[in-house]
Amino acid sequence: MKIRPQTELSQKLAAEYALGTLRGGARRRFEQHLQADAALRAEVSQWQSRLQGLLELAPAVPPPADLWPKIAARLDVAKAPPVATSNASNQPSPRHTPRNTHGTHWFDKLWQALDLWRGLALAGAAASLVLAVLLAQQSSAPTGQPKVDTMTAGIAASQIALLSGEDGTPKVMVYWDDKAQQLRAKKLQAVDKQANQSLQLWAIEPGQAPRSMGLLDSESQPGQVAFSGVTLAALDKAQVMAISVEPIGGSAQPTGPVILKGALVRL
Amino acid sequence: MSDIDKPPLSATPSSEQLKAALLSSAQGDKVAFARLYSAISSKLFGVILRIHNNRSVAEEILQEVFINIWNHAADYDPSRAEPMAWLCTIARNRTLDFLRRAQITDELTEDMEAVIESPDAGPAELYLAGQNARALSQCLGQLESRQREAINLAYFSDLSHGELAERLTLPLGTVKTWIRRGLDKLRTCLGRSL
Repeated sequence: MKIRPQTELSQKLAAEYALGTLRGGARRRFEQHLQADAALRAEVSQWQSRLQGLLELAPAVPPPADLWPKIAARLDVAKAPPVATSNASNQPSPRHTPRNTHGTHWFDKLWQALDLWRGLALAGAAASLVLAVLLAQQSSAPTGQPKVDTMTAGIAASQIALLSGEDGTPKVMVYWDDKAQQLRAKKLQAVDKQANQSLQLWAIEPGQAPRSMGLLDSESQPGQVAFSGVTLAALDKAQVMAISVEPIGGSAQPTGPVILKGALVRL
Repeated sequence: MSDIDKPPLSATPSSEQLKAALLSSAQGDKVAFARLYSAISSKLFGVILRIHNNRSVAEEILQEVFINIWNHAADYDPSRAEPMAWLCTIARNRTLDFLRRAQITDELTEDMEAVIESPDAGPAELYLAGQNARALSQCLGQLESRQREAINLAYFSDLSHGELAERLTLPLGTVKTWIRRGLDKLRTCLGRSL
């Protein structure tokens, strides 16, 4: 039997196929028709895109902030970048530093919250050594693409942190720009503060006082801040980056509330 | 007002920004991928939670979804799909795969409640959604609530007529009729609005 396109029958089958309720033998027979009939395939794809709207209408829910570090730690295992395979064995591994359990400062609490992903990153690093060898033999050079992300074009970053507030939505991205040899921040969303306040970026290492990386007051380009005085060594043991609200000009140690924070991930 | 008070970017990424971030991610650009994550992780987490309303499982699935996006970003073809629709579809499919693999079916009753009782899209969702989704939302509003529920449940949980009938404790014939009538109405309504 031929299913004529744009009929009641073809629409019913295409819709139920896209919805997923067409099952078993009926589904298999319909798929055979699909292979032979471009018009029918067009009806199915129209229904698929109609129903995809259901997904887009689902209410957004911010995931917890510690999810991104877990994902970032797995990227090299998932796909070896073309340039990194030769020195994959030199990848920095997470450091184990005794944790200061006596402190009650906010940065100690932050540090304690990081235990879980730290363990995961360690497992990931071990796995990546094995996989890097396997992947090094595959040629995975990406084909040329016409477009790039203009916000990140040309950036090669070896360390990156997504800083989010209470609700988990990342608002600022902090990264070490390999080419410029500079610590930089990009604002992904507006960050609230009063006119008589400064936002200050801190690098936090376990058991140590936070180190100021500088203020986010002046932007080198719209939405972008460069921290010119910071060296890569300053980030060496940092595990968390955080932004606090401070009096104009900043403070030697954080005094105001931390509004954004996120784990610093070695890529 | 200092520079920092001005929003550097819209909080809601444009289709062009998502496309660009995807294409750069395909080339191994992790900074672009981090930006992509910032832009869409809430949306995709919402999709996953709508299918499986258990946060810790959903978090695990979200990780798999993003690793999948990273691995398959090169397969994205901007001429064939809107990026948000493509990304949401990956989230749905990986979630269903994951639940099938893990054989997590016991909680379906709970999930069903989540699907059925989820509030309809609010202004924020509609603002974010593409034109297709906005039209769909309007047309869904014209369905009877039980038709809308059956279609949502079938799509989000990937259920057959028989499974739907079981979950909804209704005769098979009734469920089939609801789905068919609902889809018919959607087609008529969407045909008008497109």
